[in-house]
Amino acid sequence: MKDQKTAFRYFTIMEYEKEQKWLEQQHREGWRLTDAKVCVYRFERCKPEEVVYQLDYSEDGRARREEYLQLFRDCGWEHVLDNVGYSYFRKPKSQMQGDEEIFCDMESRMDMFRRILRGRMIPLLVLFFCIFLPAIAMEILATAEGSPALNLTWLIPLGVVLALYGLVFAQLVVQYQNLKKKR
Amino acid sequence: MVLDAHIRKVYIPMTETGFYILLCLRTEMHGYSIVRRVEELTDGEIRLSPGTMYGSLSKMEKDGLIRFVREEEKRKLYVITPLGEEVLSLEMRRIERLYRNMMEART
Repeated sequence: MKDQKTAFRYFTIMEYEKEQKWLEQQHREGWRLTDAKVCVYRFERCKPEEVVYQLDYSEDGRARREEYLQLFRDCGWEHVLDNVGYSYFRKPKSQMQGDEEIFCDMESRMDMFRRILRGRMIPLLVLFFCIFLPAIAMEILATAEGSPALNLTWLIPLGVVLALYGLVFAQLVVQYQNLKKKR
Repeated sequence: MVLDAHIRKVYIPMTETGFYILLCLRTEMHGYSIVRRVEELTDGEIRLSPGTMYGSLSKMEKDGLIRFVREEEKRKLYVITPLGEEVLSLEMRRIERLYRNMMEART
């Protein structure tokens, strides 16, 4: 039987809770996470177990790594890896008293959400307004000036980018509402 | 650092986590020792999570409510600053009033 596997899975920056659930499901089925690079995940065989996976987005934590990881270690959380700005932690349910998460109040969950907004969403928006929007405008102008037909080679990738932006933005709103409801 | 509008907006009223952190940091402590101390103080009812603890400590340090003292085996020790004391005493007064009013309502 294979004891390693690679899985491809794409989660947007707003889907960290979905990603956590997916990793927990893998562990429950006997696959523990060993590596992640953007959307390529590596797993190895292990005994099926209920393990809680948690993602934190903390620029400060990455800057002061030793102190940050030590605190999580002291609280029984194993640091698995870092991937696209997120730090991945896990802790077996058997070592918990009741339910445990890396955040225990509403404010700190909101704070992490804000850190993602600042660290990820704003750069994405800058990229959008400085590169994608001008590119689309140029394309439309060129078409209006009587170039033969819409240039699909450009418009299709731009359309995909636009759709992705729309999706992430919608998820952002939904996630914000969910966080507020948890309060 | 002074008690300006930003500090008021963020810390008054304060979360339970924030309150316990300031309360504990009247003596030098690191994050995990605060977690354990709060567990003792609340008979195990409040167990602060590391993400919450780390986030609060780094936010409070940036805002000047606490300051870094020294490092002990990768763990950083912090202590409350005069601004932190000021915020804590405002919160204590608010909670005292809350408690007084609650007791009056009870009787």
